[in-house]
This record gives sequence, C-alpha cells and structure tokens, in this order.
Amino acid sequence: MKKYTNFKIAVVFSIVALFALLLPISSAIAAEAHGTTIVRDADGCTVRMTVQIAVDIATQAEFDDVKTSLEACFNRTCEIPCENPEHGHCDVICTIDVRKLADIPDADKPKYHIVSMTNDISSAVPGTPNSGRSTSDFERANSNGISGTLLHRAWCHEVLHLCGLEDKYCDLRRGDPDNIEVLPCDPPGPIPCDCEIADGANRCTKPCTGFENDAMATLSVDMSCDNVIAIVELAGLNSCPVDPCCPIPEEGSSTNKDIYQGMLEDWGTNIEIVLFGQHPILNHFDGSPPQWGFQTFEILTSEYSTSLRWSNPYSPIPPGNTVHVGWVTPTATTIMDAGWRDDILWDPIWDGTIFEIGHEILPLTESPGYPTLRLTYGIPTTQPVWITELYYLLWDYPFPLDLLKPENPFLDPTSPEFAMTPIAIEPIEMFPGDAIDIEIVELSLSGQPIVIRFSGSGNNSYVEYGQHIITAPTADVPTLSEWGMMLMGLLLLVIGTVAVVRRRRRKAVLNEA
Amino acid sequence: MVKFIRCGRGFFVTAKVLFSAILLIAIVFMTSSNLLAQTPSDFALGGYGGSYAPWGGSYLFSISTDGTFEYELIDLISGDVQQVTGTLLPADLDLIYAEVVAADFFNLNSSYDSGKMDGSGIVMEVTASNVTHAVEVKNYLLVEMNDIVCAINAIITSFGVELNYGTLDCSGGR
Repeated sequence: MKKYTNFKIAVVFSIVALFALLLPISSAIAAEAHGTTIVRDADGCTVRMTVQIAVDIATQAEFDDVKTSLEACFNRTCEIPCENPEHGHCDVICTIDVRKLADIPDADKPKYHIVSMTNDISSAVPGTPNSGRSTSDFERANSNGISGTLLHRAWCHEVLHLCGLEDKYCDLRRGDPDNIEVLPCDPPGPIPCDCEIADGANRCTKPCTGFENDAMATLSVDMSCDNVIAIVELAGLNSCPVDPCCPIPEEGSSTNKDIYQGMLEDWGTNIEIVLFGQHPILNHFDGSPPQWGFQTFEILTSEYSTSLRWSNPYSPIPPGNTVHVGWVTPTATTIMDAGWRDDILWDPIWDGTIFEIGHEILPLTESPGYPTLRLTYGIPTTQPVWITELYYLLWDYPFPLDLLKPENPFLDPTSPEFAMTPIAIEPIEMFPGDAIDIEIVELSLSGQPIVIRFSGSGNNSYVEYGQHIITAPTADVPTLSEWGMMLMGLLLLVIGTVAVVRRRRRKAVLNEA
Repeated sequence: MVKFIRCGRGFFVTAKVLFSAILLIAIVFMTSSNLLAQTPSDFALGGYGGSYAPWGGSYLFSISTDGTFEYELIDLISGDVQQVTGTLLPADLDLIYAEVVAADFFNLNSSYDSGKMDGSGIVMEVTASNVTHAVEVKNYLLVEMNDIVCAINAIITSFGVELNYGTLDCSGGR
C-alpha cells in the first residue's frame, strides 16, 4: 500500500515537473514585442529586423506554403553601406517567424501580425515598424487566377505592407470622358501613371518611375534587400555609424606582421621594430589576439631611425605564441632591427631577435603598368630568411590596418572567400642586406591599393601582410648637382672677369684716342 | 326631422362613395407617380470594380438609359479580355432603381475605404432625375452597395457575367 502511495506521489511529481518545464517555453514563444521589430545591436554595426506572423483560418497545406514562401522572402542578410561605401557596411539581419495563430499563447498574440486566408485579392493594412501589429488577407491559390511563384510574391508583397511599405504602382482606369487615376505615384512623376490602356481593356497599371524592379510595384520580381532597407529606414535605423562600423581605410604603406615569441625562457613583454630613417606613423595596430593586446605604444625617433615600441607588462606572452602588430607610414619602410626587449632599458634579449623582411612597391614606370614588389632583409644577423609563399591582391580600396590579418576572409588562404592571387616562386633564401625585386604580372593603375602576403621561415615561421598604394614616378625636373653648381659659378666668374677686362681695355683705347 | 335624417343618410352615403372614389383615385395616382419615380428617364449607372492590386481581374460596366448593358473584364496578369453586351428590360431597370432608392444611394458617402492596400472594391456612379452620385467601396462591407450589386448580378447573370469584389456577399438575398 505504501509502495502504491509512493508511486502516485512520483507520478504527480513528474507531471508537475513536466508542466513546470514546459511553462517557460510556451510563455516565451514570442521573440520580439511587435509584429515588425527592428533594433540595432549593442555594437552598432548590426541591425536586426524580426517579422512575426500568425496565420489564421488555413489548412495545414496552406500554412506550410505560406511559411515556406515567406521564409524564402524574408530570411536574408542585407547591407547598409557606410557613408563612403568603400569604408564598409553594416549588416541587416532579417528573419521571419511564421506560426499558426492557435499555437500562440493569448498574451503573445498582439505581438504577431495576423494573416487570414481568403478567396479575395490579397490585401493588408499597412503597419508600422516597432509599433503593434497589423492584419492581412492572403488569397488562396487560383482563387483569383494566380498561383505558384506569383502567388508567393503577392503574399510577400502583403507582408511588406504589414512592415510599413506602400504600393509603388499606379493605376489608371478607363473613364468617360477622362481616364481616372485611381492610384497615383508618390511622389508623382511628370506624367503620373503614363501607361496606355489597351484597346478592349479598361485598366492599366505600371510601376512608378524608379520602382520598375520593386516588389511593391510588380509581381515580376522577387522581394529584395531594397525592400528590407526601406523598412529599416521607416524605423530610423538606416545608418551605419562611422565609429566603429566604417573605419577609414589606410593611405600610405601598411604592414601587419606576425611576431613570434620564440625566446627559450623569457615571457614576451616588449617589442621594438626599428625602421631605417624618420617616418611619421599614421596609424598603429597594437596586437591581437585580444588577450595579448599591447597596453602601450611609443614612437622614438633618432636622426637615422624610427623605433616603434609596444609594451605588454601585465599579460606577457608565453614562448611559442604569435601576436600581430602593425603600422602605417606615408611611404614604404625598411626594417633595420626587430626583436623582444627587456623590461628595464629596452635592451635586446639575446634570443629575442625577429627576422623580418621589409617590403615596398616600386613606382610604376607607366600607368597602367606592372608593379614591382621589392623585398629587403636588413636585420643585423648572419642567418638567412626563407620566403616560401607569396600572394598579391589588387583591390578597389585600401583595407583598414586591423583587417590586414588572416582573420580577414579575403586574405585567408583557407577561406572560401580568399581573393588573393599566388605568385609562383621557388623558395627564396634571403641573407642580411639582400633585396630582391619581383614583378607582378597584372596591369595596375597609379593610386590603386595592392595587398601582399608572404610567408616562410627564419628563426620561426611567419606570415606578413603589407599594403601599398601604387604610385607613378614623379616627372623628372632638370636640376643642378653640387658639381654643376660649382662649374656654373666658375663659368659665371670667368664670363664676368672677361667682360670687366674688355670694358677696361675699351675705355683705355678711347682715352688714348 | 325624418327628412333631415333621410337627407343625412343620403349625404353620408354620397360622401362615402365620394370618399371611396377619391381614395381610389389617390391610390391610383400615387401608384402611378411611384412608378414614374422608380424609372426616371435619365436613370443610368456605371463604374468599375475588381482588383485594386496589379494582379487579378478588373472590370468596367455600364447600364444606359435605354437598358444597354456593357461589361469588360481584363485579367491583369494574362491580359485576357472578356467583353459582354446585352439589353436589360424596363422591369430590370425598375428593380435596380428600387434597390438604389432603398439603399438611399444618393445620400451615401462618396468613399468607404477600410484602409487596406491592394484587395478589391467597386466604384459605382448613378444618375437619376438629373442627379449624379458616385460611391467607392474598397475592401469594405457596405450593405447598401452589396444589395444594389446583388440586384444587378441577379439580372446580368443571364449574360454569364457578374460584378464581383471581395466583400460582396449575395448569399443572404433581399
């Protein structure tokens, strides 16, 4: 008897537990607060648009058809370009949630647009993004002569109304004595709805000017990202903030390189890159991955060199790891020295030297022309460096410095979006003081950005990215050298002396006469 | 006194006859005057209806004073056109006009719009007794328009066509 009682308690407990588990699921069915909800992510660079549809009075087959067709229209990612499209874009991630009205808890129903199946022409009450919900009637297949793709486009058209968009077609009917413009374009063109009513017909419709390929004007085309962006605009979110979404691309010469921590015992704290000559530093990239980002960056300039110093005192990098740093200078630079430094006087650590190669693109002799890549090895060591792979990419606009790294899919050989072109080379061995020129066999223009990627091994394996703006040679203006100046001065002295002597002689002759 | 009574009876009988005659004449007169009002000589109507979207069917229709009925239907996707012409009997015009009067058509608003986009509707313009009035119904159930269109459809169904729009419902009859 007691055993039986325990069994009953267990059953009741299980049911209660199951109910408790299901309760939060059913009450949390609506993801968003409105039929059309548009929000910007915290990072500012992604806008999310969610459309919630509840289908009423439909067979299972009709519901499945509606759900499939609406998902095909609305589940997409679109882009809001930066003010300068060359600086990037923000993503608009659009999703649609289609459910049966009966499956939605009463409390959540006001958060869904309501769609009912009907035999009439599809219609919808225009909605407003981020404000309540609206209603629409979807015509059934063949109830008004359309089915398949056209019908699905009509349904998507109506949901775009629910999201706030207006029609973009005009409607002209035959009248007596004048034709009647039932639906004018907004804004009206010079001749609103200038379509011609065919003989025997009583009406013509036509997309408004500029909307010929718009799903709000015709069933001849599918819904597009233009429609999504137009809805986002209604919500006032059709913008892509410059900071942080539209980084200004780099001008000049950019370098973003692997720095391998190959020291045997020390943990890496300070890195110094020494460039030949004085160079303004236009931008710098202070390390990735994030946990090893350098806390400080400093520039020291001497008469013959520019030192770039990164320091990471609080989270030093253990041996065997790689970090990235980068810098931008107005012109190409050659690396004089590079390596890990100690914490006190920034003295070189004996096994901390980094074998780095400098790079530049020589000026074109003509534009368009074939650019030449010059690689130089200036590190004061006796050990060679090997270059085993070399790629280039002629691009439409410069990448920001922090995108010159393998995490950029266009620059990652393992990514399907990898866009770089390989340069066929045998492995190149470079010794200190070596410089080699490699011609890139693709016509390019002066002012065009070029990205190079080379990898190989020195005292470690490395990957380096460089970016340069291809330049044309400056026009040759004849100038005098120092020797020329001296010869010119001597010549003027001789000419002047001769002139003075001749004048004195002429004066003496006249006096004698 | 008796004579008076007799005269009085005669007077009442005469008055009763006269009253009946006047009543009969009034009934006849009122009936004929009603019939005249039901079919004004300039009674005509026309308009267009069907889809307000750039797909579906859209039609133009007219009924002239002489009873000529014209109808054109175009499928906006296929471009197919259906044209029908016929003649309505005077009794048909009477029935239609009776519905117009019953609906108090000339006092309806000029537009009844639910605010929905696309969908369907009808615009009807009626002329009678030198008065013209047009009413548009778009995605809206207006019982008065519903009754008039149902009355027309009951007549023109013999031509194989009908005026149709989404909210139209002729199942109830009238």
